[in-house]
Amino acid sequence: MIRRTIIILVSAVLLAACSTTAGHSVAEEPEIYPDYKGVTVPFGIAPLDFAVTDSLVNSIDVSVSGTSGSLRSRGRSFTRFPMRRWHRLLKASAGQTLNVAVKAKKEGKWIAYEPFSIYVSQDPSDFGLVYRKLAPGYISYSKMGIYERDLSSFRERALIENTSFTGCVNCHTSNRCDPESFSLHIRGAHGATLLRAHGALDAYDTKTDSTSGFCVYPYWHHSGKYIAYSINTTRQAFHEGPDKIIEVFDHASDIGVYDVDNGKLLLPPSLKGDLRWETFPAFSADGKTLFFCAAKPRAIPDSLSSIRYNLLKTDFDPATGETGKVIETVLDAEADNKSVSFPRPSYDGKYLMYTLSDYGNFSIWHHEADLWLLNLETGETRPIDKVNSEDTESFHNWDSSSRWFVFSSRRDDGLHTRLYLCHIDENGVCAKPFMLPQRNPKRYYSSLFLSFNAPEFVNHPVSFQTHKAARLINSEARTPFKI
Amino acid sequence: MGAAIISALLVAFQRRLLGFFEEVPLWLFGLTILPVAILCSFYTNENAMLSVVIALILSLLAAHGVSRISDRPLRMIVVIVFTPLLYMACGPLSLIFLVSLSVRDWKAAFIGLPVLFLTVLAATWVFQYPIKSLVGGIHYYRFLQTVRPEPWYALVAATFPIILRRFLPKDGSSLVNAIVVAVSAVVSLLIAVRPVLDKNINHQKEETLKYTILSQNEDWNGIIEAAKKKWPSLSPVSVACVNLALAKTGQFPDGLFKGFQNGPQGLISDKKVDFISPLAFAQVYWALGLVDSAQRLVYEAQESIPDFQKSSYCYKWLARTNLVNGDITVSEKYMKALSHTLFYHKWRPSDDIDQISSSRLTVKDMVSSDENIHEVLSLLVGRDSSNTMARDYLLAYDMLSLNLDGFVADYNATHKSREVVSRAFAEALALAWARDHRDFDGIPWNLPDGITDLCVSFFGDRGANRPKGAMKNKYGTTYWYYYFYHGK
Repeated sequence: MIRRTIIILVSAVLLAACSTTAGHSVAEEPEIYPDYKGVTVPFGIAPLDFAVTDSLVNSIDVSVSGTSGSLRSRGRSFTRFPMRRWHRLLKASAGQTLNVAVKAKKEGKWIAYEPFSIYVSQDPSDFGLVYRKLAPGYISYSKMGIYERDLSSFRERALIENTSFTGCVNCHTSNRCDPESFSLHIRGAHGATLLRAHGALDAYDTKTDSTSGFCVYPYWHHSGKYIAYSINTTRQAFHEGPDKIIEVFDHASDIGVYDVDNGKLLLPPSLKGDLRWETFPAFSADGKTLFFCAAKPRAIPDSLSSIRYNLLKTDFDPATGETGKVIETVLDAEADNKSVSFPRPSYDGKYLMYTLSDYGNFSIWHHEADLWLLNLETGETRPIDKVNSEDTESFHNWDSSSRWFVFSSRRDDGLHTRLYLCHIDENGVCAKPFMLPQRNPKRYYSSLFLSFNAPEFVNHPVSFQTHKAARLINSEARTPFKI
Repeated sequence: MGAAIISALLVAFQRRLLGFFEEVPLWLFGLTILPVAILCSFYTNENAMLSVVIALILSLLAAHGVSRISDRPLRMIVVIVFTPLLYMACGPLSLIFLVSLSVRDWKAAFIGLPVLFLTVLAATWVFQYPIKSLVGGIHYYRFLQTVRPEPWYALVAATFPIILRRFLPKDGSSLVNAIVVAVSAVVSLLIAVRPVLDKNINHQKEETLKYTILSQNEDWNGIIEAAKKKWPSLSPVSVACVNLALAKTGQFPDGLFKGFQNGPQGLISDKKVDFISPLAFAQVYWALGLVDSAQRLVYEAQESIPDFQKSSYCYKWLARTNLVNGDITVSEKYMKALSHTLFYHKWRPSDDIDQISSSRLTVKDMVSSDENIHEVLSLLVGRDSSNTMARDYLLAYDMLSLNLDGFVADYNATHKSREVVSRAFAEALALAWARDHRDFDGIPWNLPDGITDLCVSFFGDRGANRPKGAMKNKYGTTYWYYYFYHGK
């Protein structure tokens, strides 16, 4: 009798559970946040949890299925896919499409939306990202830091935060996604450039008697023997109007190459001086060419909107570090009333990605800024329509395989930059990018008043001696850059 | 309000301290005033944080709760578990938990000490703060890198009666009672009034804070009343608040020279970047229709908060400015954050949004800074001639910059020739005229009666080399006095 009662009760519960999500179908895809519909992801990515944006929805039932299996998540308004099962499913589905079926309970009734797809690429991405998080402010700065994010999970780790010293953590760059070598600039009372090369971490004073300022934007030569730096004298100005907020511009800028082994900053005469403002150096994949942006000097700030940077390149001799003998224009953006920022050659040597805006070089504050791709073999250049939005797309970096890139965009709320990852195939075709996953993305991003800034891939966890770094920064000792 | 909260917490702290004893002889009561007096002194500093007294109360409460556990092994376990938790919640002042517990069970307290030490040690590895901050306390003082001694003096003073209680008789003689109470009372009084004796209270800062808060509350009449009692001196922030209140209450420009003026930076400025000054000037920029500058100043103020906290008041402003700028999503983000706050959860952008939207300055590729305020104000007036505040501020900016030629040009461009001139402007026009003319015949402006006679009198007295004090007594509320004696 008892046994029969239990069977009936369990059956009733199961039937009830089955029937709860049975509802009428609608021929439309659900509105979800972040928009993961039709994206391409690496098979090692963290669960793409999302929320249904319809505020009338109070329960959802989501199933993700492929030929190799399926998983399910139920919740109030956002998914919480189980980590292990997610990874098992994606690993088994590499090279295949997953279908995501969303059912939502709205005003007491279940609705089944048209399923959408997620393509799981066979191309793996690097281990994670390193980025800066800071408030998108003006002059003052509050808490900020450099963080590492494991792309296979939601784990974020602070590498260094400005709570341990007085100052602002700035541009950080590793050598082709290998964080064993990196350069990190600190501004403020304890200004320094932290440099780790060949395993040794030290604090440097990059300002010399022969340079107009500190070494700012770094780019490593793949040999690890050189770092190209731009030396910028940077200022800020503020707009009075609804569309623009801040303008960051250079009064002067040069390019130098730091010889890591010999501790010397090489200043090629052709990349120094007042005839041209050079910035954003980047070595080609083979290390024999140095790309950079350059503009004709103008009166600042009156002629701010007519400063336009072209993309140039020059020879580089990896044996001696000599550069600047022959300078060529790669992209004459000025002729189109445009300006190039952040050239980033892919590590396979095929492409160069850059940001194109109306003027200036600090494109993150330009709503019109878009990402463009230059084919280094054919010279053809085009906007990457799949990734560009009506708002700012700016800083970007490749992963070590050159099959993925990360970029920052203000498309989410118009102010705070968020990170997006995108797949690019061997023919240069980009897939739909996806926002950096978070466990509860709607709550996470809507309550985060910080911007993600200067992202780069790292191919393994960063081994960073945080306390040693803080000690170095707080100490007075600085190793000078020699000329 | 703030003072009431501090007082209530201090009373609660002392009550909690007393509550730890079964019987409270008079001498013990006297001694418990000491730590409160120290905290009183501490809280005369505007950067002292409430977390100090809250940490002490919570730690005492925890000690009280744990001491009531009758099972000793369980009490030991709770101490081991509670010590790190209290350190995380209350910081190193949680040491008072172990000290006060020692009265009832010194062995349990003794076990907690190495646990606390290990917790601090672990914290130095987990948190990216200097060791001195982790040992001395984070968020006890607004400046993160600064460790103030007062919270520790308070802890020692609070510990004193607890320890003494073990050694002195429960019912001390009346002589002991009288001596301890008298000494405690005198010492407490001295400590509590120490900031006054040491002149540690920064009255100018207090004044600036008062005017800033009145300005934040948009209590313009309150500012005028405060200025009538004592006109602000020196601080451009306070002067800017008064000037804005004059403009808001229709007393600008005539009220301008009723008190000290601090040059153009006391009218409008974006130079000073800290967590107070920009808020007052943001009000000025906002009222003029310079929405982006207002937003920038509020953001700067918020980012300058030394302990990296955020401000609901700043969020309110940022919700407003972003709304005017059409950045609806960002504005909604701030409003959503505000909906979780105590004082602003019902706040909604007010009606002045539409007015500001229509009068705001929108100039393509216009860069606003402290160097081109005159240009910006001119543009505002040129764009909207009904923006009387911008017009008055433009002219006042000329006057305070001692730019008489600019003032005359701007006045003529913005006013009709036979319009009756307001008094402050009339004084400037009379002065400008007097520079190049022997008398006031043919002066093209309709100056109020008596201005020219007073001007003649001023120059007569000045020519007679009358001392500055006498000139101030007679002409201190005129523009002429400001023009010739400002900063001298």
